[in-house]
Amino acid sequence: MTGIGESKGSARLFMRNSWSRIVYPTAVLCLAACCNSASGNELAELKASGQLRHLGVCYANFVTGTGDGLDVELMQLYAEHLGLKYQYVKEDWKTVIPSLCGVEYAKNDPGLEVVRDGLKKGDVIANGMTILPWREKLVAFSTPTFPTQVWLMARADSDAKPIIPSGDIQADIAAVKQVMKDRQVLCKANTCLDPNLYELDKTGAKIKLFAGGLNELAPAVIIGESEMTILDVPDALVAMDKWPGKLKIIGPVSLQQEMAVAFPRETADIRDSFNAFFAQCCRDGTYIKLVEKYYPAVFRYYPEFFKALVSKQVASASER
Amino acid sequence: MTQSEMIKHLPGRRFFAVWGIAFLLGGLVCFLLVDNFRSRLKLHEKNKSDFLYYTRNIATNLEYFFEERRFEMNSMACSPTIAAYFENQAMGMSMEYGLKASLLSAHERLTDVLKQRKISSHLIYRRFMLVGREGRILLDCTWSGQQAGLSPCDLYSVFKGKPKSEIVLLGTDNQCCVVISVPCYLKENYAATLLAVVNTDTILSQMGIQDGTGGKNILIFDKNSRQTLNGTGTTPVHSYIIRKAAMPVSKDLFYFADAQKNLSLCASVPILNTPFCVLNTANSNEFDTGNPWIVPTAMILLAVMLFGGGVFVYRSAARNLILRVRLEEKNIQQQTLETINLRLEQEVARRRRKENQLKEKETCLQATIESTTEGILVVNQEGLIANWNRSFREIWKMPEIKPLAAISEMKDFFLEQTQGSESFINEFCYLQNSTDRFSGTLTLKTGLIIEYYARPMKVHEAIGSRVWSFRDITLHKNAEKTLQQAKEAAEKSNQAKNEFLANMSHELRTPLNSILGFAGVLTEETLTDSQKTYIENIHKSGLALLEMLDNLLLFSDSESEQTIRVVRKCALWDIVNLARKKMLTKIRKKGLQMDVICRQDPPMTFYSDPQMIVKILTAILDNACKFTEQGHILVTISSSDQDCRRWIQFAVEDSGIGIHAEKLQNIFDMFMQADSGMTRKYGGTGTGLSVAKKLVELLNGQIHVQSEYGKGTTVTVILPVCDEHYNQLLSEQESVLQTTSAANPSL
Repeated sequence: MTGIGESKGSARLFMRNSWSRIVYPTAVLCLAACCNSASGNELAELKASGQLRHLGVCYANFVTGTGDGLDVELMQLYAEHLGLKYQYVKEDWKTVIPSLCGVEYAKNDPGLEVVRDGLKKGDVIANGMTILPWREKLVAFSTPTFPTQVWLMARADSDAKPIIPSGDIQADIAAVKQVMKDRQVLCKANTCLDPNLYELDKTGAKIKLFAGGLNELAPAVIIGESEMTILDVPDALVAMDKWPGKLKIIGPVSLQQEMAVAFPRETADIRDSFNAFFAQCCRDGTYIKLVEKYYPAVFRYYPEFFKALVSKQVASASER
Repeated sequence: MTQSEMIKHLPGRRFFAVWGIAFLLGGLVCFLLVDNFRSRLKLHEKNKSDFLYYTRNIATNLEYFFEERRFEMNSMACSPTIAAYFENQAMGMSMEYGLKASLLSAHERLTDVLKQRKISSHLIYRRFMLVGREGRILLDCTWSGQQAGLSPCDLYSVFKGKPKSEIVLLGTDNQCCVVISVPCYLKENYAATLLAVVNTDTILSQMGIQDGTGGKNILIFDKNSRQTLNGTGTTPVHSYIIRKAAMPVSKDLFYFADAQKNLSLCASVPILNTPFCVLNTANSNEFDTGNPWIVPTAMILLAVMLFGGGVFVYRSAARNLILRVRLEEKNIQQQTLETINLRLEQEVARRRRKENQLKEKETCLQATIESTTEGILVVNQEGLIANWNRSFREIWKMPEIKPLAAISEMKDFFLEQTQGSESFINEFCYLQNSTDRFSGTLTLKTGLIIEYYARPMKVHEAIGSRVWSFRDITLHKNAEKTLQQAKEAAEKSNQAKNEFLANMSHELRTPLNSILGFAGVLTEETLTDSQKTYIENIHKSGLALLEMLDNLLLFSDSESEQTIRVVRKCALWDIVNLARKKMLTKIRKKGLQMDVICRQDPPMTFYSDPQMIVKILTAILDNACKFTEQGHILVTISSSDQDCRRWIQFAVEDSGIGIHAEKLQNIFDMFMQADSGMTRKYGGTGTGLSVAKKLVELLNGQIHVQSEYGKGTTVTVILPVCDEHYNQLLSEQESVLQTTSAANPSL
């Protein structure tokens, strides 16, 4: 879901550079080669290192910045499961994936481009990262851990009215886009709240790209920066809780998405180990208790996701 | 002074009535005065108690008020609205968007509280401030209609960095305000302090002071800073009162006198969970109880009067009591003397009765002594004759005895009478004090044989006198001698009889055997029928005579105790068959039926004298056969264990003529039959059962007869027998027997 943050090089600059068209395939091949250069002993090496380095960005209730959060506790349990010492490495959205992969890259119009080698600072990213296609080229995602979606939110005193759900998600999205027309909508470029991802420019809305942090979209709307904004579900739920009565949900802008824990592509055995651990947490109810602690309202919006998550893990365990 | 004079001088009833009424009235007045004083004291205490109670009520109201405020502020400090600011700060949100929105929300919330919280038209709070951990003021909410009070700098300089909940009184002498602080936490980490300035008017209204119009001297002071909070219009309170009330050992209620000597009553009550105290003052005139010396003076006067009257009455009553006690003692002495006199008279009468009884007993005793044929003489401890009877004088042929004559003086007389029996004279005359008893026989000069007996007579465990009794046994001795001579003659006669019988039996048996022998020989010769009949009669008569001789000989032997038991092993059926065989001819001849049955499992072998048992059974069976004309003879053999011995019992029952009950007691006498006519009819000498009884007694057994006349007789013989354990004894017996036989071959 969340993006890479503010990229200094814009897409247009890259598009103008015809040389990059020649380099891109080579870069992707190199990146894939980096990702596929797995030795197969990464889990043993991780255990030998004695610690699990958790790369995280403060976001919603996944990483709260005060030493807790849904993904923080999940990673602490995983480290305990492996018998390793837990270590949190604070990152931001721009640096979190390079810190995991050990390479710096740029996202331009045709795709990703490796800029230079970087320092590998962590072993896993867990802070409510949405599974997006371009991210899947860089990292390996675990079993989906959390549902998400992009909602249109408006200030409470706005005259825009929430849509009435029709039962058809596509129709609901179309209805929401109708509401946006001629209204100012705050968006965040190069993130999952990028207006291009949802073709908001075709809705007639007055798109305003937000210069602040991703977590600050909701307060920006509250203090009058814009009438509306698009928010992903975890952030929206947190905003509704922090500023009760200040915001209202108009409706969905995207289809349902999923979040997961990200691992370097070459560490398939670590990912498999985490998937097994996560399945065990789902079966014994540990994970559901953590979700109830940090997102008690999410079961009201996405009950099917967690029901399917538990039943799937139980079924796979019985098959084994 | 006589008793009557003493009684005359005793105080009368009127005297006591007057003094009693005086004391009652005096006591009543005293009681009323004391009760009045107590009531005034109670009223004073009640006023003080009410004063303190009122002050405590104010303190309790303020305690509830501050507790409620503290709770309310804690709720606000923990509210998500304020917590959101710190959460956003932790997430790195900027002041431009995220933090600004959070502060705006918190400001709105605090402003709402500021406007809405009221008590009786007074706003509770005047200001809210949120001071960050580092001392920066994050929020400052005041309502435009209210005076802010202290400056923000004053406030946060006090509470900066103190994660503590407290209530303080801040300000100057002119203006004070109460400030409440509560810490705000983000996930158990101190983040900021929320301050609230409480509206003073609200607090004063809790103290009962409305809009400064109250005239009560009530204030709140902080024990730590000595700052005071007064309502407008209250009189100034001396700082000494506050210092005294703030002392830890100070009482709730105390008096205070100012420079003008005006006494004030002060009540100081702490407000719990706060550093404040409520101080209430009042003029002490409201609690005045009057001059305290009046009542004690009146009580002392009354006490003196009552004490003097009491002493007078006490002395009079004491004298009266002494006189009454003396009179009472005299009466008691008189009654005691009368009682003693009466008891003496009763004792004299009782002794007279006893004396008469003694005389009667003495007379009776003397008559008894005189009536006995024994001579009785009583000699006292000094050897003087104390008493005697007529028989004594007659036995000893004494013409006269002087009372209390010395027995030793009569020694010659008794020596002569006893024909010089020195031992008797010694005992009689000189051993009066001995504890021994003497007895003996004397032959007097007159020919009388007397028996004497002397015993000491003890009085109270000491020997008082000795009683001699003499009895004439002359006739008794003569009769004894005659009987002895007769016995010896009878024994000689019996011995002669036995010897005669034995000799005669032997002498008769010899020719009788010849007669029987030759009669037997003749029966084998050729004789005529009449000759055979004569010979048979001779043989039968001879046999009968032989049997009779045998019985006589046996009886004679048993009488002379010459029969000796020969104990040996016996076979029961051998004994029974031998006796049965002997009687078989007679029984068959008379056509009787004879049955032998055993009961209770008798021993088949035992140790006894078999020949004697055969003789006993033969004699009894012969007797039964003789007196039974028809019917049966039943022999029942049984055994029993009694007295640790084994007994065998033979019961011979017949259906004969039976015996009269009155004849049963003589049935075992020698030569005795139940009826004299029976001898003629049935024959016999009447020796069978006698011999059987003798033999049974020799075997230490018993024999009994039961009979009913006309129906039959049952003779039961019970004999002791020995079992195998007697074998050793038997061998000893046989050895003795052999020794005896060797010494006396005739046995």
